[in-house]
Amino acid sequence: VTGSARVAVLALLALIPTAAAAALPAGLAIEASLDRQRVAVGQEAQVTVVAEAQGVALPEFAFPPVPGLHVVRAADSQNFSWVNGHLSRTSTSVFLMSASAPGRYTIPPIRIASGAARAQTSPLVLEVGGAPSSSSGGLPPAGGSGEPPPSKVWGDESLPELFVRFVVDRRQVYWNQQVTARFLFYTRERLEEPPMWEIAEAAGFWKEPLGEMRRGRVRVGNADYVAFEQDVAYFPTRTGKLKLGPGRVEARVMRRVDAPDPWSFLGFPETRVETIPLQTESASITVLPLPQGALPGFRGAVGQLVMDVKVDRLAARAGEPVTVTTVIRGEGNLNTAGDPDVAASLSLRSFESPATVTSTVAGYKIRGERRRDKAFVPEVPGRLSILPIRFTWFDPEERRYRTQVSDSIHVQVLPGGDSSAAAAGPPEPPAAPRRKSGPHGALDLGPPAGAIALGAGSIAALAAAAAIAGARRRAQLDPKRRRKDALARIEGEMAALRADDAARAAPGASAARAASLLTAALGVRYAADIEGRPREDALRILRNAGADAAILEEAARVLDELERLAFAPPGPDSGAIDRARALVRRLAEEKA
Amino acid sequence: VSADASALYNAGTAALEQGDLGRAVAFLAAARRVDPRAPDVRRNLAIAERTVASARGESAPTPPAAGGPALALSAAEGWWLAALLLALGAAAAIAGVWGLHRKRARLLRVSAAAALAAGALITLWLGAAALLERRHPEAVIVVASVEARRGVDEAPRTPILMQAGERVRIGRSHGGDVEVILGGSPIGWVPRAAVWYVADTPRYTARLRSE
Repeated sequence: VTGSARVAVLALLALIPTAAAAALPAGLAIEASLDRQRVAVGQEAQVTVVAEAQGVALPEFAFPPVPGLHVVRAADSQNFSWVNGHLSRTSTSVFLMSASAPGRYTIPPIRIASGAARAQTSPLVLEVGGAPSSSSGGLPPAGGSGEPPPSKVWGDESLPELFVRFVVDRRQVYWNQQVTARFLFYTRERLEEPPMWEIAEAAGFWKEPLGEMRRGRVRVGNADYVAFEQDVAYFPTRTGKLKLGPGRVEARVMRRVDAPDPWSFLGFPETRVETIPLQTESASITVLPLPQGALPGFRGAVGQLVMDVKVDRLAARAGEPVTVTTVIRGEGNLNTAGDPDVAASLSLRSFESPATVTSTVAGYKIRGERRRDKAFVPEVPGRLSILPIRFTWFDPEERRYRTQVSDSIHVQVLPGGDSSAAAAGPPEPPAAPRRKSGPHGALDLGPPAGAIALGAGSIAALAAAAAIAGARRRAQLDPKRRRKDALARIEGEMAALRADDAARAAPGASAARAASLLTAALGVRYAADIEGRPREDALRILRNAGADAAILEEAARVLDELERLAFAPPGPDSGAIDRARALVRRLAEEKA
Repeated sequence: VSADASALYNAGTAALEQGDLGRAVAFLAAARRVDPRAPDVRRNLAIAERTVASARGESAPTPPAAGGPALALSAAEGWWLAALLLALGAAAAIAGVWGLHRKRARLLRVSAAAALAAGALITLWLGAAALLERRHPEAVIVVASVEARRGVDEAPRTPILMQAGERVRIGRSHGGDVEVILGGSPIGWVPRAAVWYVADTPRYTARLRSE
């Protein structure tokens, strides 16, 4: 055994006990803890169980059943650590439990075992309290669903995490008198969204929410709460003992779940949303009938009200409408307040518009106004009197009926031709009349005949010009037409050649020019490119292009004559140019 | 039928001074159709309309100051303008097509297109107005007040009280009643005698003269 081999063997021997220790679960430990000792019925408590064992293997454990408790395994995580050559494994499990009935629940020890090693937790005790409001008998039954009714408190009663309140400003009111109900929600928990109150339809009441839900911070006891308040105005529509509420609300609470795995989601705490229903108490309201002895004209208006009367004009001509507007404003249920009678001294045509009600929220009260128009149409000149308008309402604060009477309103009715506008005068003096006549013109909005003729003629001329131009353009693009024009042009040049004195004086040059023109005419006629080619080649190309054999023979003879004439000494004209011209004309006519 | 703008204006001004707002609005609206740029016509019509609006409890724009002719055209002037634009456009287009001005061919084409497009737009606009006037002529309430009631076999609806000087359009007629259209919607039926068609006002000026 060499020195280095000895070192390796010693190192291996040293590792053996370490590996054995890592493989065998030696020290076992298990702990369980409750996040709270007391909950209400329906609320959840969280139990965290941490088991630890030396070595790789970690025995499983089971949560012991507890009668009356509903247990859900919410999360698990495991952790390994290697410290000083010792491997340990930790398992953390989270359980959520809730009880459906109040009582004292004992969670038995949770046991784990591995070989000879054993460990167990201490027993845990969870107290589940009943809903305080239900124990006080204020809450209505849940409707036979078997589930317990929602509580008005969630969490420890001494320091609840959520609770609701229901406050009414009075317990005894008159018929149609406003009762202000305040639905209050307090929370120390973080909510996913603001709570939504379910405002119960109270039998015998007409309700009107007083604006949007309000939010603020308040201190209750020794804790700070976020409070949400929804106010509702109720108006009783019948008398007797009526019940308001309860108000129900569902809060979506974001609860933090202790992260069992430090590596889960980068160590951020996990949250889950728990929906918690809460319910307020209800309130009993005594609705008194209105006292006897209602004054004439009472139409059911209750509140602190006042009436205004307006007339749109104090002078009108016969046939013009006079509009009387009654406005009732103040606090109260203006939708059920009737309108006062409006009458005139004469029997007139009259028109009534339906009343319009506008309301606003002022604190805990509804303020508004009810407006109604009535138009009278006087037919004859004279004096029109709007009789006193009487408005009667019941004032619940003073517990008596009250009446307001307007003064008579007198409207001067002028003859039809002398109107109020004339009596009052126009707002500004009109421009003076004209002394001269004209200008003259038509009152119908149709086009004058001249304008029609001009416009239509212009369009027609444009159309005709466009048509002619199009025809010309098409003709210029026609190959037959272009060929005919080219042959005519060549023939013209030949005619000019014969007419030119200078050309007659030099017949040789004229003959050469005529030969060139004839060759060009043959090329144009048969669409062949023969310019500059030897005569034999040119004739062959023309023959291949479909040229008539007789014409080709005639062309060859004329070209021979012209060539001879071009190179012969000066002498008399033999008429070759005329024959060339005749041949060109024949080519053109043949095509034509 | 040719109407005298001054006769209409004088009749409208006299009605305005007498407080007969319905006839004043009818006469002056007709005068403005013939002589739309006349400041006196515009002013008195604005005064009449403002008085009508004031009587109804509404606000109306302030009458324009005297002078300062607006860029308004009568229907006939508009038609002539459209015809001239079409003629100019056609001439420019023909010159461009026939190559009369080769150096300015592009300018001719652009000018022709612009003139033809403007002429066609004005023609469409005036044509729509003429068609509307033919189908639903403009009219003015000339009685102090009249109730626009629902017609026979029509669904019940609230009667609408109309006052002198209100400008409406007229739809169908039945017996002695005509259908009143306001804002594009029929609102009820009124007696034929309660309205004056703006296009018919010259015959009332003749009657006034005879009276």
